[in-house]
Amino acid sequence: MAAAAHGPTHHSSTGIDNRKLLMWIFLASECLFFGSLISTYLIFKGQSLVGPFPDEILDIPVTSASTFVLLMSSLSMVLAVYGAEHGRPRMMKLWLLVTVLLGLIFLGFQVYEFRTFGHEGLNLTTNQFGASFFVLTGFHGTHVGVGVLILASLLLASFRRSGLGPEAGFHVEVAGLYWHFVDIVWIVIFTVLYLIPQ
Amino acid sequence: MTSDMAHGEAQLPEVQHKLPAIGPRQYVMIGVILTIITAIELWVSYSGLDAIIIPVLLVLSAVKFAVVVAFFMHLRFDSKMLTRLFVFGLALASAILVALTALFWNDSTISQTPVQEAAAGSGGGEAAAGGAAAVQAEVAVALGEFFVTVAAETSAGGVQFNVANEGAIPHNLRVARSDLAPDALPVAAGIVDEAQVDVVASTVDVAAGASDSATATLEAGAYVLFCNVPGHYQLGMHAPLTVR
Repeated sequence: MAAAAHGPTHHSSTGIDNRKLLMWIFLASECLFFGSLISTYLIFKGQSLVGPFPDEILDIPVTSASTFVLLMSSLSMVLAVYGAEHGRPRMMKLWLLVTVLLGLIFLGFQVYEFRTFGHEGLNLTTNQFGASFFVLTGFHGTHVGVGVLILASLLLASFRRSGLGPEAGFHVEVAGLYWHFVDIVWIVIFTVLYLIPQ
Repeated sequence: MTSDMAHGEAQLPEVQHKLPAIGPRQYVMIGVILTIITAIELWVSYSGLDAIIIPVLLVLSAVKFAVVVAFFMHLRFDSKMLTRLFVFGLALASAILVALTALFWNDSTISQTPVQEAAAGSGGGEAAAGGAAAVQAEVAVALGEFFVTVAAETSAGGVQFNVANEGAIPHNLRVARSDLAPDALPVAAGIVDEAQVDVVASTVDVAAGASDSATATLEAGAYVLFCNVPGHYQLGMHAPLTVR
Protein backbone atom coordinates (compact mmCIF):
# COMPACT_ATOMS: atom_id res chain seq x y z
CA MET A 1 0.00 0.00 0.00
CA ALA A 2 2.85 2.29 0.84
CA ALA A 3 4.44 1.84 -2.56
CA ALA A 4 1.10 2.48 -4.27
CA ALA A 5 0.63 5.73 -2.36
CA HIS A 6 4.13 6.87 -3.22
CA GLY A 7 3.89 5.95 -6.89
CA PRO A 8 6.75 5.16 -9.25
CA THR A 9 10.20 4.31 -7.96
CA HIS A 10 12.98 6.88 -8.32
CA HIS A 11 16.72 6.59 -8.09
CA SER A 12 19.11 9.17 -6.66
CA SER A 13 22.71 9.19 -5.50
CA THR A 14 21.65 9.90 -1.92
CA GLY A 15 18.80 7.39 -1.73
CA ILE A 16 16.56 10.36 -0.89
CA ASP A 17 14.08 11.81 -3.36
CA ASN A 18 15.78 14.91 -4.76
CA ARG A 19 12.64 17.01 -4.39
CA LYS A 20 12.43 16.16 -0.71
CA LEU A 21 16.14 16.84 -0.28
CA LEU A 22 15.60 20.22 -1.92
CA MET A 23 12.81 21.06 0.53
CA TRP A 24 15.07 20.23 3.49
CA ILE A 25 17.91 22.36 2.05
CA PHE A 26 15.41 25.18 1.62
CA LEU A 27 14.23 24.79 5.22
CA ALA A 28 17.85 24.79 6.47
CA SER A 29 18.42 28.08 4.61
CA GLU A 30 15.20 29.46 6.10
CA CYS A 31 16.74 28.84 9.54
CA LEU A 32 19.41 31.42 8.64
CA PHE A 33 16.76 33.86 7.41
CA PHE A 34 14.66 33.70 10.58
CA GLY A 35 17.80 33.43 12.75
CA SER A 36 18.94 36.82 11.41
CA LEU A 37 15.54 38.43 11.99
CA ILE A 38 15.31 37.08 15.55
CA SER A 39 18.89 38.31 16.21
CA THR A 40 17.88 41.78 14.99
CA TYR A 41 14.89 41.78 17.31
CA LEU A 42 17.10 40.82 20.27
CA ILE A 43 19.69 43.50 19.46
CA PHE A 44 16.99 46.19 19.33
CA LYS A 45 15.31 44.89 22.48
CA GLY A 46 15.06 47.67 25.09
CA GLN A 47 16.57 50.25 22.73
CA SER A 48 13.41 52.08 21.65
CA LEU A 49 13.51 55.82 22.24
CA VAL A 50 9.76 56.28 22.24
CA GLY A 51 6.76 54.06 22.99
CA PRO A 52 4.66 52.07 22.67
CA PHE A 53 7.01 49.61 24.36
CA PRO A 54 6.53 45.81 24.17
CA ASP A 55 5.30 45.35 27.74
CA GLU A 56 2.60 47.98 27.15
CA ILE A 57 1.25 46.49 23.97
CA LEU A 58 1.85 42.73 23.61
CA ASP A 59 -1.28 40.72 24.38
CA ILE A 60 -0.04 37.35 25.61
CA PRO A 61 -3.47 35.66 26.15
CA VAL A 62 -4.56 36.45 22.58
CA THR A 63 -1.23 35.30 21.11
CA SER A 64 -1.36 32.13 23.23
CA ALA A 65 -4.66 31.33 21.55
CA SER A 66 -3.20 31.85 18.07
CA THR A 67 -0.15 29.78 19.06
CA PHE A 68 -2.46 26.94 20.09
CA VAL A 69 -4.24 27.21 16.74
CA LEU A 70 -0.96 26.91 14.82
CA LEU A 71 0.18 23.99 16.99
CA MET A 72 -3.07 22.16 16.29
CA SER A 73 -2.66 22.86 12.57
CA SER A 74 0.59 20.90 12.74
CA LEU A 75 -1.34 17.98 14.21
CA SER A 76 -4.01 18.18 11.49
CA MET A 77 -1.25 18.42 8.86
CA VAL A 78 0.47 15.26 10.04
CA LEU A 79 -2.89 13.45 10.00
CA ALA A 80 -3.41 14.61 6.39
CA VAL A 81 0.05 13.26 5.50
CA TYR A 82 -0.87 9.97 7.18
CA GLY A 83 -4.07 9.75 5.14
CA ALA A 84 -2.23 10.51 1.90
CA GLU A 85 0.56 8.02 2.57
CA HIS A 86 -1.82 5.23 3.54
CA GLY A 87 -4.16 5.58 0.56
CA ARG A 88 -7.01 7.18 2.53
CA PRO A 89 -7.98 10.21 0.38
CA ARG A 90 -11.03 11.19 2.45
CA MET A 91 -8.94 11.37 5.59
CA MET A 92 -6.34 13.39 3.72
CA LYS A 93 -8.90 15.87 2.36
CA LEU A 94 -10.60 16.34 5.72
CA TRP A 95 -7.38 17.13 7.58
CA LEU A 96 -6.01 19.26 4.75
CA LEU A 97 -9.20 21.32 4.98
CA VAL A 98 -8.83 21.60 8.77
CA THR A 99 -5.19 22.69 8.36
CA VAL A 100 -6.11 25.38 5.83
CA LEU A 101 -8.86 26.69 8.13
CA LEU A 102 -6.55 26.74 11.16
CA GLY A 103 -3.91 28.57 9.08
CA LEU A 104 -6.51 31.17 8.09
CA ILE A 105 -7.57 31.58 11.73
CA PHE A 106 -3.92 32.17 12.70
CA LEU A 107 -3.64 34.82 9.98
CA GLY A 108 -6.86 36.39 11.27
CA PHE A 109 -5.29 36.66 14.72
CA GLN A 110 -2.25 38.31 13.18
CA VAL A 111 -4.30 40.84 11.21
CA TYR A 112 -6.20 41.65 14.43
CA GLU A 113 -2.93 42.08 16.33
CA PHE A 114 -1.36 44.30 13.66
CA ARG A 115 -4.48 46.49 13.45
CA THR A 116 -4.67 46.82 17.23
CA PHE A 117 -1.01 47.84 17.40
CA GLY A 118 -1.59 50.35 14.61
CA HIS A 119 -4.47 51.93 16.53
CA GLU A 120 -2.27 52.13 19.62
CA GLY A 121 0.36 54.03 17.66
CA LEU A 122 2.88 51.29 16.85
CA ASN A 123 3.91 50.81 13.26
CA LEU A 124 6.99 49.87 11.26
CA THR A 125 8.64 53.28 11.73
CA THR A 126 7.60 54.18 15.29
CA ASN A 127 10.65 52.75 17.06
CA GLN A 128 13.15 49.89 16.99
CA PHE A 129 10.63 47.55 18.60
CA GLY A 130 8.03 48.30 15.91
CA ALA A 131 10.54 47.87 13.08
CA SER A 132 11.97 44.54 14.26
CA PHE A 133 8.62 43.19 15.49
CA PHE A 134 6.67 43.84 12.28
CA VAL A 135 9.47 42.62 9.99
CA LEU A 136 9.88 39.36 11.92
CA THR A 137 6.22 38.51 12.51
CA GLY A 138 5.27 39.90 9.10
CA PHE A 139 7.68 37.58 7.31
CA HIS A 140 6.42 34.68 9.41
CA GLY A 141 2.83 35.58 8.55
CA THR A 142 3.79 35.70 4.87
CA HIS A 143 5.16 32.17 5.20
CA VAL A 144 1.89 31.04 6.77
CA GLY A 145 0.01 32.69 3.89
CA VAL A 146 2.16 30.88 1.32
CA GLY A 147 1.60 27.62 3.21
CA VAL A 148 -2.16 28.14 3.16
CA LEU A 149 -2.02 28.68 -0.62
CA ILE A 150 0.04 25.51 -1.13
CA LEU A 151 -2.27 23.39 1.02
CA ALA A 152 -5.43 24.91 -0.49
CA SER A 153 -4.18 24.15 -4.00
CA LEU A 154 -3.37 20.57 -2.98
CA LEU A 155 -6.86 20.28 -1.50
CA LEU A 156 -8.46 21.63 -4.68
CA ALA A 157 -6.33 19.35 -6.87
CA SER A 158 -7.34 16.34 -4.77
CA PHE A 159 -10.92 16.79 -5.96
CA ARG A 160 -9.92 16.06 -9.58
CA ARG A 161 -10.93 12.68 -10.93
CA SER A 162 -7.34 11.46 -10.72
CA GLY A 163 -6.90 13.02 -7.28
CA LEU A 164 -3.29 13.97 -6.52
CA GLY A 165 -2.02 11.18 -8.76
CA PRO A 166 0.20 8.24 -7.87
CA GLU A 167 2.52 10.44 -5.76
CA ALA A 168 -0.16 11.93 -3.54
CA GLY A 169 1.61 10.86 -0.36
CA PHE A 170 4.85 12.43 -1.49
CA HIS A 171 3.27 15.78 -2.45
CA VAL A 172 1.38 16.12 0.81
CA GLU A 173 4.42 15.05 2.83
CA VAL A 174 6.68 17.70 1.27
CA ALA A 175 4.01 20.41 1.69
CA GLY A 176 3.68 19.21 5.29
CA LEU A 177 7.43 19.72 5.89
CA TYR A 178 7.02 23.38 4.96
CA TRP A 179 3.95 23.75 7.15
CA HIS A 180 5.61 22.18 10.20
CA PHE A 181 8.63 24.43 9.69
CA VAL A 182 6.38 27.49 9.85
CA ASP A 183 5.04 26.08 13.12
CA ILE A 184 8.48 25.52 14.70
CA VAL A 185 9.57 29.03 13.75
CA TRP A 186 6.52 30.32 15.61
CA ILE A 187 7.44 28.18 18.64
CA VAL A 188 10.69 30.17 18.85
CA ILE A 189 9.08 33.55 18.07
CA PHE A 190 6.36 33.03 20.68
CA THR A 191 8.97 32.31 23.36
CA VAL A 192 11.45 35.04 22.44
CA LEU A 193 9.01 37.88 21.65
CA TYR A 194 6.08 37.22 23.91
CA LEU A 195 6.94 34.97 26.87
CA ILE A 196 10.42 36.11 27.89
CA PRO A 197 9.95 39.21 30.11
CA GLN A 198 10.66 42.53 28.39
CA MET B 1 19.72 9.37 -25.01
CA THR B 2 16.63 8.88 -22.84
CA SER B 3 17.34 5.20 -22.41
CA ASP B 4 20.96 6.05 -21.51
CA MET B 5 19.73 8.40 -18.82
CA ALA B 6 17.25 5.86 -17.56
CA HIS B 7 19.99 3.27 -17.52
CA GLY B 8 22.31 5.70 -15.69
CA GLU B 9 19.66 6.48 -13.10
CA ALA B 10 19.07 2.80 -12.52
CA GLN B 11 22.70 2.51 -11.40
CA LEU B 12 21.95 4.83 -8.49
CA PRO B 13 20.38 3.65 -5.23
CA GLU B 14 16.61 3.39 -5.21
CA VAL B 15 14.81 6.14 -3.30
CA GLN B 16 13.59 4.75 0.01
CA HIS B 17 10.03 5.43 1.10
CA LYS B 18 9.94 3.91 4.53
CA LEU B 19 6.76 5.01 6.25
CA PRO B 20 7.15 6.01 9.90
CA ALA B 21 6.02 3.39 12.39
CA ILE B 22 3.62 5.80 14.06
CA GLY B 23 -0.10 6.33 13.62
CA PRO B 24 -2.91 8.81 14.30
CA ARG B 25 -3.22 7.83 17.95
CA GLN B 26 0.44 8.60 18.62
CA TYR B 27 0.17 11.86 16.66
CA VAL B 28 -2.75 12.99 18.81
CA MET B 29 -0.79 12.05 21.94
CA ILE B 30 2.11 14.19 20.71
CA GLY B 31 -0.34 17.05 20.04
CA VAL B 32 -1.60 16.77 23.62
CA ILE B 33 1.98 16.78 24.96
CA LEU B 34 2.79 19.91 22.91
CA THR B 35 -0.32 21.63 24.26
CA ILE B 36 0.65 20.74 27.84
CA ILE B 37 4.16 22.11 27.30
CA THR B 38 2.67 25.35 25.92
CA ALA B 39 0.44 25.64 29.00
CA ILE B 40 3.50 25.12 31.25
CA GLU B 41 5.34 27.84 29.29
CA LEU B 42 2.48 30.26 29.91
CA TRP B 43 2.40 29.39 33.60
CA VAL B 44 6.17 29.91 33.86
CA SER B 45 6.00 33.28 32.10
CA TYR B 46 3.40 34.50 34.64
CA SER B 47 5.00 32.76 37.63
CA GLY B 48 7.38 35.54 38.60
CA LEU B 49 10.27 33.07 38.99
CA ASP B 50 12.59 35.73 37.62
CA ALA B 51 15.87 33.94 38.18
CA ILE B 52 15.05 30.83 36.14
CA ILE B 53 12.33 32.06 33.82
CA ILE B 54 14.47 32.56 30.70
CA PRO B 55 16.38 29.24 30.79
CA VAL B 56 13.19 27.30 31.60
CA LEU B 57 11.29 28.93 28.72
CA LEU B 58 14.16 28.32 26.30
CA VAL B 59 14.40 24.64 27.27
CA LEU B 60 10.63 24.11 26.96
CA SER B 61 10.61 25.83 23.59
CA ALA B 62 13.55 23.69 22.41
CA VAL B 63 11.70 20.53 23.51
CA LYS B 64 8.60 21.53 21.51
CA PHE B 65 10.79 22.38 18.51
CA ALA B 66 12.56 19.01 18.70
CA VAL B 67 9.33 17.03 19.13
CA VAL B 68 7.71 18.62 16.06
CA VAL B 69 10.84 18.11 13.95
CA ALA B 70 11.37 14.51 15.10
CA PHE B 71 7.81 13.21 14.94
CA PHE B 72 5.64 15.52 12.81
CA MET B 73 8.38 16.14 10.24
CA HIS B 74 9.44 12.47 10.50
CA LEU B 75 13.11 13.32 10.87
CA ARG B 76 13.45 10.59 13.48
CA PHE B 77 12.34 8.01 10.92
CA ASP B 78 13.99 9.54 7.85
CA SER B 79 17.50 9.46 6.42
CA LYS B 80 20.23 10.62 8.81
CA MET B 81 21.50 12.86 6.04
CA LEU B 82 18.40 15.06 6.32
CA THR B 83 18.94 15.40 10.07
CA ARG B 84 22.55 16.45 9.51
CA LEU B 85 21.49 18.93 6.86
CA PHE B 86 18.87 20.57 9.04
CA VAL B 87 21.09 20.63 12.13
CA PHE B 88 23.79 22.29 10.02
CA GLY B 89 21.32 25.06 9.08
CA LEU B 90 20.30 25.44 12.71
CA ALA B 91 23.95 25.58 13.82
CA LEU B 92 24.69 28.34 11.30
CA ALA B 93 21.62 30.25 12.44
CA SER B 94 22.77 29.94 16.07
CA ALA B 95 26.23 31.17 15.07
CA ILE B 96 24.62 34.22 13.41
CA LEU B 97 22.64 34.88 16.59
CA VAL B 98 25.73 34.67 18.79
CA ALA B 99 27.90 36.74 16.44
CA LEU B 100 25.35 39.53 15.93
CA THR B 101 24.40 39.84 19.58
CA ALA B 102 28.08 39.81 20.61
CA LEU B 103 28.78 42.59 18.11
CA PHE B 104 25.86 44.84 18.93
CA TRP B 105 24.69 44.01 22.45
CA ASN B 106 24.31 47.27 24.38
CA ASP B 107 26.00 49.14 21.55
CA SER B 108 25.81 52.83 22.43
CA THR B 109 25.27 53.76 18.78
CA ILE B 110 21.90 52.04 18.89
CA SER B 111 19.36 54.43 20.36
CA GLN B 112 18.66 53.98 24.04
CA THR B 113 15.59 54.34 26.18
CA PRO B 114 14.94 57.90 27.44
CA VAL B 115 15.99 57.00 31.01
CA GLN B 116 19.33 55.54 29.95
CA GLU B 117 19.79 58.40 27.56
CA ALA B 118 19.41 61.14 30.19
CA ALA B 119 21.95 59.41 32.43
CA ALA B 120 24.41 58.80 29.61
CA GLY B 121 23.85 62.31 28.22
CA SER B 122 24.84 64.21 31.35
CA GLY B 123 27.82 61.91 31.92
CA GLY B 124 28.95 62.35 28.33
CA GLY B 125 28.75 66.12 28.60
CA GLU B 126 30.91 66.22 31.68
CA ALA B 127 33.46 63.84 30.21
CA ALA B 128 33.79 66.05 27.13
CA ALA B 129 34.41 69.04 29.34
CA GLY B 130 37.18 67.21 31.19
CA GLY B 131 35.38 66.72 34.49
CA ALA B 132 32.57 68.42 36.39
CA ALA B 133 32.75 72.15 35.73
CA ALA B 134 31.22 74.83 37.94
CA VAL B 135 28.36 76.23 35.90
CA GLN B 136 28.60 80.00 35.53
CA ALA B 137 26.20 80.43 32.60
CA GLU B 138 23.35 78.48 31.03
CA VAL B 139 22.70 78.50 27.30
CA ALA B 140 19.39 77.32 25.83
CA VAL B 141 19.71 75.37 22.60
CA ALA B 142 16.71 74.37 20.46
CA LEU B 143 17.06 71.56 17.91
CA GLY B 144 14.61 70.72 15.14
CA GLU B 145 14.25 69.90 11.45
CA PHE B 146 16.63 71.27 10.45
CA PHE B 147 17.89 74.06 12.62
CA VAL B 148 19.96 74.82 15.72
CA THR B 149 18.83 77.92 17.58
CA VAL B 150 21.12 79.45 20.21
CA ALA B 151 22.02 82.92 21.56
CA ALA B 152 24.83 84.59 19.60
CA GLU B 153 27.13 85.06 22.60
CA THR B 154 27.93 83.76 26.05
CA SER B 155 30.67 84.37 28.60
CA ALA B 156 33.78 82.25 29.14
CA GLY B 157 33.86 79.71 31.99
CA GLY B 158 31.60 76.82 32.96
CA VAL B 159 28.66 76.75 30.58
CA GLN B 160 25.69 74.41 30.71
CA PHE B 161 23.90 73.81 27.41
CA ASN B 162 20.22 73.04 28.00
CA VAL B 163 19.18 71.21 24.87
CA ALA B 164 15.52 70.86 23.85
CA ASN B 165 14.55 68.75 20.85
CA GLU B 166 11.60 70.59 19.34
CA GLY B 167 11.60 68.39 16.24
CA ALA B 168 9.84 65.15 15.34
CA ILE B 169 12.93 62.91 15.15
CA PRO B 170 15.98 62.34 17.39
CA HIS B 171 18.79 64.91 17.30
CA ASN B 172 22.00 65.45 19.21
CA LEU B 173 24.23 68.42 19.99
CA ARG B 174 27.96 68.87 19.46
CA VAL B 175 29.81 72.01 20.57
CA ALA B 176 33.10 72.44 18.71
CA ARG B 177 35.82 75.08 19.06
CA SER B 178 36.40 76.28 15.49
CA ASP B 179 37.25 79.41 13.58
CA LEU B 180 35.68 77.95 10.44
CA ALA B 181 32.32 79.19 9.18
CA PRO B 182 29.44 77.16 10.75
CA ASP B 183 28.70 75.45 7.42
CA ALA B 184 32.36 74.78 6.56
CA LEU B 185 33.32 72.04 9.03
CA PRO B 186 35.02 68.95 7.53
CA VAL B 187 32.41 66.32 6.60
CA ALA B 188 32.94 62.61 5.97
CA ALA B 189 30.24 60.06 5.18
CA GLY B 190 27.41 62.47 5.94
CA ILE B 191 28.62 63.55 9.37
CA VAL B 192 31.08 66.12 10.67
CA ASP B 193 34.41 64.38 11.13
CA GLU B 194 34.80 64.76 14.88
CA ALA B 195 38.43 63.65 14.70
CA GLN B 196 39.22 66.86 12.80
CA VAL B 197 37.37 69.33 15.03
CA ASP B 198 37.77 70.12 18.73
CA VAL B 199 34.48 68.90 20.24
CA VAL B 200 34.20 70.25 23.82
CA ALA B 201 30.67 69.15 24.71
CA SER B 202 28.16 66.65 23.36
CA THR B 203 24.92 64.87 24.10
CA VAL B 204 23.70 61.45 22.97
CA ASP B 205 20.66 61.30 20.69
CA VAL B 206 17.76 63.21 22.25
CA ALA B 207 14.30 61.84 21.44
CA ALA B 208 11.68 64.09 19.81
CA GLY B 209 10.18 66.33 22.49
CA ALA B 210 12.82 65.37 25.08
CA SER B 211 15.59 67.47 26.53
CA ASP B 212 19.11 66.93 27.77
CA SER B 213 22.07 68.97 28.95
CA ALA B 214 25.84 69.03 28.58
CA THR B 215 28.42 71.16 30.36
CA ALA B 216 31.84 72.42 29.31
CA THR B 217 34.42 74.92 30.39
CA LEU B 218 34.69 77.32 27.47
CA GLU B 219 37.53 79.67 26.67
CA ALA B 220 36.96 82.85 24.71
CA GLY B 221 36.76 82.26 20.99
CA ALA B 222 34.52 81.06 18.15
CA TYR B 223 32.45 77.90 18.48
CA VAL B 224 30.06 76.00 16.23
CA LEU B 225 27.05 74.10 17.55
CA PHE B 226 25.74 71.32 15.31
CA CYS B 227 23.74 68.08 15.20
CA ASN B 228 25.77 65.07 14.12
CA VAL B 229 23.00 62.63 13.29
CA PRO B 230 23.95 61.53 9.75
CA GLY B 231 22.89 64.11 7.18
CA HIS B 232 21.54 66.68 9.63
CA TYR B 233 24.58 68.97 9.60
CA GLN B 234 24.42 69.28 5.84
CA LEU B 235 20.66 69.95 6.05
CA GLY B 236 21.39 73.09 8.06
CA MET B 237 21.64 72.00 11.68
CA HIS B 238 24.49 74.30 12.71
CA ALA B 239 24.83 77.67 14.45
CA PRO B 240 27.70 79.91 15.56
CA LEU B 241 28.39 80.85 19.20
CA THR B 242 30.90 83.48 20.28
CA VAL B 243 32.42 83.17 23.76
CA ARG B 244 33.79 86.40 25.24
